[in-house]
Amino acid sequence: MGGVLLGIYTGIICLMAAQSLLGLRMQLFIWEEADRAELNRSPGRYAAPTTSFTVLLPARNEEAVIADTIDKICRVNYPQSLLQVLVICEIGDTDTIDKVRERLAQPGAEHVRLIIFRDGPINKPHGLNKGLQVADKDVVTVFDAEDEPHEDIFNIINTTFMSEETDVVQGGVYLMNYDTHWFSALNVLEYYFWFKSSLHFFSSSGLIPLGGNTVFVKRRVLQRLGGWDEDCLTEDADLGIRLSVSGARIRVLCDDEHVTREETPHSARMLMKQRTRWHQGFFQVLRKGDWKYLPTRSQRMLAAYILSGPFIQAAFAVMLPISLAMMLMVKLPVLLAMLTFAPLYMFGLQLCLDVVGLAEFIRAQRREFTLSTFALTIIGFAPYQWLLAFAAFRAIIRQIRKQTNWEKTAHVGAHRKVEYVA
Amino acid sequence: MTSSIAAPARRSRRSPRSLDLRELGARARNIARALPSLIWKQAELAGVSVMIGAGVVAHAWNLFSYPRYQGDEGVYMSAAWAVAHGQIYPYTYTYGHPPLGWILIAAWCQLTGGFFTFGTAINTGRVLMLVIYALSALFVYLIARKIAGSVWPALLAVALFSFSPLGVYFQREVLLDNFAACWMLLSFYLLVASESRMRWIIASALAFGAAVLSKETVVIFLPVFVYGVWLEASAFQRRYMVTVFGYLTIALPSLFVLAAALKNELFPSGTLLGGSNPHVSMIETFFLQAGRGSNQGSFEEQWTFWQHTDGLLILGGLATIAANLVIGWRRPVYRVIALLPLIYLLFLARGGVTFAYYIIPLIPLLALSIALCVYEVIAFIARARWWRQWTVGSWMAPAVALIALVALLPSDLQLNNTNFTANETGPQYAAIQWMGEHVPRSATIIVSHYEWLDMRSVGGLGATYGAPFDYVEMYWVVATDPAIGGGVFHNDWRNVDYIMADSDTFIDANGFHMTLLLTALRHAVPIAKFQNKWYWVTIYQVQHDTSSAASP
Repeated sequence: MGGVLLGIYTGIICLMAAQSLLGLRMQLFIWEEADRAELNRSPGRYAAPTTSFTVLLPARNEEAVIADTIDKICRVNYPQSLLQVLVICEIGDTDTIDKVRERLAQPGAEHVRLIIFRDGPINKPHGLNKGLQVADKDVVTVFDAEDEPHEDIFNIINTTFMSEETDVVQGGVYLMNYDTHWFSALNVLEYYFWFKSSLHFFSSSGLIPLGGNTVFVKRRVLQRLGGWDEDCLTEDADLGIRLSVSGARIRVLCDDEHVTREETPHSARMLMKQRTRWHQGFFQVLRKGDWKYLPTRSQRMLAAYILSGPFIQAAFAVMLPISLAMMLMVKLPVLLAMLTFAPLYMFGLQLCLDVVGLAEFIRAQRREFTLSTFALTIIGFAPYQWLLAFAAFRAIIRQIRKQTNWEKTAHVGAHRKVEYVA
Repeated sequence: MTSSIAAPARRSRRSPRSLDLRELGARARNIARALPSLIWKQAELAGVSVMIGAGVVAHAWNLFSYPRYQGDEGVYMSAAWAVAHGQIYPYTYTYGHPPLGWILIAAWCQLTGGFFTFGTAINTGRVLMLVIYALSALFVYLIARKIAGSVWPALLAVALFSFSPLGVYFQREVLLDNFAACWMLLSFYLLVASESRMRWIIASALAFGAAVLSKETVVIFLPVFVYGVWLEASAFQRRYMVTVFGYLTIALPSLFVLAAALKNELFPSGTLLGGSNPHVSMIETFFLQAGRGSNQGSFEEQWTFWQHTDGLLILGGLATIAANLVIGWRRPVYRVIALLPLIYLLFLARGGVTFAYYIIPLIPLLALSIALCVYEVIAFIARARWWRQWTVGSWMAPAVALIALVALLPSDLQLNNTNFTANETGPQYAAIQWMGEHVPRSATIIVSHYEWLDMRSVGGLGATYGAPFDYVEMYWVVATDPAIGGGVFHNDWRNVDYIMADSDTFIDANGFHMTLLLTALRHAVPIAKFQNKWYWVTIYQVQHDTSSAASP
């Protein structure tokens, strides 16, 4: 009996180590070879504007930031005639609607339209589908109401579409306010590594869970797939999987200079809710099973692994106290005891890479890498993992209770209070 | 337009036979074009094989007779034997050295049919050292080939490395430093050949970790290796590569510390973290070793010995370190070539004990330093305008390297004379044999480390003439391990029956005041002596009846 338990324990430890290893692989992918630097480099010279874009801007209870966002999108360097901006609101959200109308009354927003829908479900994918019905440009893109797209983003994407054979371009999205909460820096790093490196790993594997915005899809491709899944909590990842299955060519482009800027959730509670939603969404995508139609076995395995993320994280949350108890109380043979340290060694490397990534990120913003940020990152590392694991638990429990409503992330515009220099 | 339409029509009318001929012609032309490089590759392979093959012969010639079996060799063979029997060390393990070296020896002995396939245990180990030598020579070649981009300096480096009398002497011995140097050279090759690829850097880091797990002293090279990664990585990857390399090179050897901690043998007993029950402690051992005085050999003494044995390598190496630092101004990788031997020399020169074999990691590094420096200087001169008119420029560097190679061999052959002809192990061999033939198995015997396994183990030389000896202990362990000196012998000379002693035994017994051994020797008489013009071993029988005692 003891032997069997020990065997299971050892097996779980090995799995934990393997999953950390895969995580590290994804985190480091872009830096594996010198010429991969090119993958994230925006074109140096822009092609003449040719591609036309429909910008979908779904907004709900975003009265604080929506006017600013419309401003930003109106100020991009791209001919207005090639842009169609659709702000999408639900009819009950009168505050946001008023703000949008107020802004549209001012000059310079002639290509912006307000789309109001009255039917359910009231969520982002439904809004996006409403927008898609009205969209009439070559490429459809999504921005969130708190986003700050770069002013040259359409030139860059246009050039990419002109020079490369591709159906989808996923641009980079960075969180900017790395020093507002204890978890900010770690949250910022997740995005940083995800868009800069991990997405390229997925791209090379032929399977991409896309991001929720700054994603540019040819309208015909999108319409052929039937738009977004309105029952899915992570419609972006779902779309990515379906695009991958359909064989669409997906290009990831994340140049530090031209990323879309966002803010972290403004409290640990909101972060946990956001993460719960993502986990539940991934779980839905896993259950839908579109990933089973991916062509190769390794793609299917990778998809299953990514989509079952919540289980893995929750399992590790359970393993942590067990591991500690085993270390202190059970006298294991030395070699086995050393093996149980393998995941810890991986965590150590991840922490080191996080510090390096943060230093790089902050340097790119031309700001000072202070000792307190550094200390906070290290101290917050473990609690942050627990927070994610707790969110995973919550996701599983909510899923069992069939609570699949949208817990939306509120935005206060923290990333705009500071003027970030690119 | 018309021609492009007509062309396929014409081709379709062509007979299959003529099409074949045309294809064959093209294929022949391709082969002819590739032939010089193909021949060149084969020639290079042949050249390297001959050079390393000659090196293997130089190391193998007289391998079992010279140098004499050293105590350390016996310790590592015994440790490997313990590993093969599920232990990490034959006696109490005090974490003096990390175990990867003797774990490899154990694996080697499993593969080659036991510990006594080649006669004594140490002979079996020395055959493995031939393999280690050949691998090291190959890595030296690959490193120089990669950095210079030419075959000649690489062959010169291998020659300097292979036929150095210091190298032939020390690389024959079963020493952890040889394993460590081999791993380090592999790591260095992976680094210079990485072309900024993360996988190579990771492999390099793992090899470096293995080097440190073979012999802890090579950790001194780490800063230079990290700097090497910094130089090799593209600016875009630099931070991440240095982090990954640094982390892995520290994480892997830290397993050694972790193992000690898990066995509660990290902190000394009697400290807060060490607990109160008596046990060995890694930290204690570390400070004990770090604090060893230089009475077992000082840097100055060894330097004189090294310089005397192979002046060309030592002095030439020293001069080229300086020259390579200058070349490094233009070619950054030469800074690493210079800094590697430099940092190790500074480490040795800091004071503290320096054993003669500490030269081992330096031998390949100095060989690389000399060969690459010579080549780079000549190539620099050859690039001067004056030479280029004569078209000898491009041939000059290879020619000089070749001349140096040819000039080197006779002098090295001469210097290696002792290595090829002396027979120091003869008396040692005969003494062990005599014990096996004449001494009852119940006897309690104190021996040197090199004799232990051949007496103790089934199949050993001393055990060939009957059963192995159950009560045989190493004199050093008798003096230092309370479990043996107190536990087995009760610190009483009357419990000792026989002593096998050579000059080292007497030097150590007197130098380290090994009371039990000295008292037993005072009550013993020599009963057999084995001697030739190079070495001697004496077997003493302890006289338990005090009236007939005689002093040796």
